Amino acid sequence: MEWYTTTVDGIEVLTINGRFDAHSAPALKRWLLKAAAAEGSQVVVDLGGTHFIDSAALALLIAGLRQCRARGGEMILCNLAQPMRIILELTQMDQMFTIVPTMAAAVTALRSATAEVIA
Amino acid sequence: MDWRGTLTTQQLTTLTSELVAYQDQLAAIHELAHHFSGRLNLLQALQGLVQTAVRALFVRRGAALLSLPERPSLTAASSVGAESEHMLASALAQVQQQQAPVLQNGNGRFPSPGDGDRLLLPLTVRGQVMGVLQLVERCTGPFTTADIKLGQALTAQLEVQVENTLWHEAEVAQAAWRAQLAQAQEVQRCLLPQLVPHISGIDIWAASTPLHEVGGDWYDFIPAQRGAPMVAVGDVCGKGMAAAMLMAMTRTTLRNGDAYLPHSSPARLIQHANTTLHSDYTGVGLFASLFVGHYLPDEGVVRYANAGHAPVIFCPARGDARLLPASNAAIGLLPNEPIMEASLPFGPGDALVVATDGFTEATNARGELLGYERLLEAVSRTAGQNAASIGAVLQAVVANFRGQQPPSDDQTLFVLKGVSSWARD
Repeated sequence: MEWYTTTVDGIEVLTINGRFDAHSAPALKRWLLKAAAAEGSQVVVDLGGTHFIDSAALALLIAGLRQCRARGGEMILCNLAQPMRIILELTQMDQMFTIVPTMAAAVTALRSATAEVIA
Repeated sequence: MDWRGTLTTQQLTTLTSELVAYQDQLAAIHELAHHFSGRLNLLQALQGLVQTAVRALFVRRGAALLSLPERPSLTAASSVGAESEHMLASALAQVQQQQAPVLQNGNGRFPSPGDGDRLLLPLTVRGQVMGVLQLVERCTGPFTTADIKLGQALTAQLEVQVENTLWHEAEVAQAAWRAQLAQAQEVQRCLLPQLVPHISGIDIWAASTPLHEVGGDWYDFIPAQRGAPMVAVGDVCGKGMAAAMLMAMTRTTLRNGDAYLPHSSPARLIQHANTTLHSDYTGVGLFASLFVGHYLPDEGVVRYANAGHAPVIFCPARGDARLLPASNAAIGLLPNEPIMEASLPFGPGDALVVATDGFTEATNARGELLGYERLLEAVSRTAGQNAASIGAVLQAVVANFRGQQPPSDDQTLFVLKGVSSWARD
């Protein structure tokens, strides 16, 4: 697994490639929980290059998501490949996340969420 | 020497004294080695080093400090008050900075001979300077290079002794830990059903293999208020000790839910477990998938509820295997979830296979996952056989797929095969 982070217009983007296995990247866990802990943080997780997520990794994403929302922020998943989408739907895990098809859609969704808050 | 090439009396006396001194020093090294060959704690070893070094190197006072990580420092001295802790700490800092012995000779600048002579020798453990041997006030003249070498021969023996002690302690701790794990494994084995109940109309086979000594998967037969026992398969996310602790808690909560409910059902059982355990699961940031089924022969159905569990595979007597999707998210995620229930027509020749993701996520040497398609195909292929045969075939399919690759998760497999009530295939 490899992962890296970038910032796009104040939005933190986490890109994960390969096999997303929570235990093999404690640094990723630290980054995600720290990013989510910031007030009103907006995080996009790009899973376009991920072919597998184990249950511990899902638990980590959920922990990050809960933390974001608790601090008035939001976390969105994007670019999921079809096989992964199918598994999340099969297990109803897709209920837990906001999932959009593309990075552009994620940015739009986050911007309109911010606009709602301001308005 | 005189003209015949022999030594003078003076030279002979000096040579003899030197030889005796060398012999004394060798004896000191040997004595220290002998001392260390007994079963010593680190403090005794340090004291042995100081006593021997003081004698072998002809100093008036000696002291040593050993400071290993995560334990209190040890000090030893040739006599009470021979050195203050503060001076020893300062000596340690000096050898750590130099990463080498530190030698200071008084060179007659002090009133008494030997005053101002100070030799600091580092004690190195696992490549790091973690202690110091300090020798002061040489009686027989300034310290020489030979003295440093002798001192290093003595400290080397202590370093070996420290290393051996640390290894021994680690082995003892590991043995204690393994004993604990073995006990935990036995507890978890007892929490799994010891017997498969006989239920008229269905043939049952089940097996659960944790990845480590303990794991987060389980299956259970839960006595129901009416009809056959309910069957349950659960999978706490993760593996190892943490998952096992939650497995034990969840298995018991699920099992005991039925005892207090007036009209038990798979949905009610899962709902009760979710409500009871939600805050614990949220607190630790985990969740568990859960499938509960109840065979009702009078209605010819299996009533079931599925909270986030996959793969659940149904293969009708005449037809292909298909996945039964979950109707709810896993437990521990959403509080107060109303759990949905479904009825699956089930009779002779039908097969229901519930596995955990240790099967679908089995990986081969090329990094490919077994996946759902291969598992569905295998179930379709073998569904005509009895439950034990179906189970054996599916286990073999996974093992063959993995090849030399080790398993990466707990694996649980539960097979229900519909049979005629008066006959077993």
